[in-house]
Amino acid sequence: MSDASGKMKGRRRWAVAGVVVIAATFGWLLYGGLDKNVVFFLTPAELLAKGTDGVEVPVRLGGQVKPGSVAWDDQTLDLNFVVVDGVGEVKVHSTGAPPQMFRDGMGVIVEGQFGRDGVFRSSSLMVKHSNEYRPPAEGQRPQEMYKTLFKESPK
Amino acid sequence: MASSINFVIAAYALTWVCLVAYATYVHRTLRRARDEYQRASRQPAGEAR
Amino acid sequence: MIPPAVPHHETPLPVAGRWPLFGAFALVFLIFAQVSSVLVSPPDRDMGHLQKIMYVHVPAAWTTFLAFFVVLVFSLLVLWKGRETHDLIAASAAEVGAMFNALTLALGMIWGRPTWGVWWTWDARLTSTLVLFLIFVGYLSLRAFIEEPERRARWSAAVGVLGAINVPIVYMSVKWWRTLHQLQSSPSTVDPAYVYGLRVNAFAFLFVLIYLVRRRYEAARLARAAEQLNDVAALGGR
Repeated sequence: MSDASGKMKGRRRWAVAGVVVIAATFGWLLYGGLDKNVVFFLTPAELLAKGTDGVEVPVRLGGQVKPGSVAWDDQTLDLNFVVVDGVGEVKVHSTGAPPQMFRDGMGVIVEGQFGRDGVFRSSSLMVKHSNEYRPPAEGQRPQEMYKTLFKESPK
Repeated sequence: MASSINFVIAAYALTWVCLVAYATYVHRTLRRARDEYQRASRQPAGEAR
Repeated sequence: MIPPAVPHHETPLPVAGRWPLFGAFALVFLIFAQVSSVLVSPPDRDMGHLQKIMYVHVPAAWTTFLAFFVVLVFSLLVLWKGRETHDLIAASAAEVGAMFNALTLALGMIWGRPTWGVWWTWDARLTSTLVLFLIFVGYLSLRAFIEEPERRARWSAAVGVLGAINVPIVYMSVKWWRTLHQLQSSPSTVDPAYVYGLRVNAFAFLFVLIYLVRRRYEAARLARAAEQLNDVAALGGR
């Protein structure tokens, strides 16, 4: 058993390290990481209600794509649309083709900054899918809208 | 469309790789444990290794 | 044939019995579940064929939760009764659960990239699922580095209980916080065309879980029994 005592000491050190990792994870969860993510995104109404506090700071904005608001320029890759939540609405500018589920009425979350000119400049666009799963109705081709709008498929 | 199918294939392939790899590890661990147990059972108690 | 080597208060050593047959059944059932559900389900109106990732991602997540629930129950039993058998069941379920947890995360990333547009984001659901994984990696490394079985059992039981508390947090995170991840689906939000696939694959994953935990436990018990026999032999005539 004598040769095991050195090994035991090493193992104890690892055990302490394991406990530290777990404790740190908990601490981070409780006070750090999750806290910041409690409000993962603001709705358009909430962002507008913040007034100047919400301007030119990194923030996430979430809502639905206002039907008919999508404007895509396939030369400059500029994408403009409006995000609504039923109360407020915010103009969003983004570049590059969006994810394939992007379309009128779809939930989206954009990361970026709300400019003084009232346009939200998005650096990252995420599509928020609902928990609904349905086969398309007879003759319904929702994916066609993406194809007609964004002729070239995104990578 | 084609790229969607690639993601689906990737998901199913990953599932199988993960499950088969882990099951293989479990079976190997089990075989080793059984061998070790049988070896340990054969040595008479009271005799040094 | 094999002499009993475990302390008298322990349950008899687990034997292979018909478990290999059950394993073969689980394998065949998983293949059947995947083939039948992938062939049957129509493309989703939003996601198209990507909906099919649901049949592996969601059962993997449920299986993770179930495995850690087993850890919770047997960790509590260890704290209550101090039996090594329970400790080894908890450890086996934790290892299998960590594997399913990692699979859930990876499948979620594969599903997220084409649907959400990102591989990962730090929302409450994704973050808490990663934290759950890290806790059980911590649990397993803790076990690997505590030599003395009784201390190992008590320490890891405490961590197992604390870790499993996070399962309801992960499950409820989509309701408690705003997340990119959608709410749980229910039969009212999922068309019957997809419910079959979800159910049959959930059962397939359940069988795989049962098989893996049982065999991992069998291995853990045999390894412990061998260790105890060797200790007795090493102590010589004392």
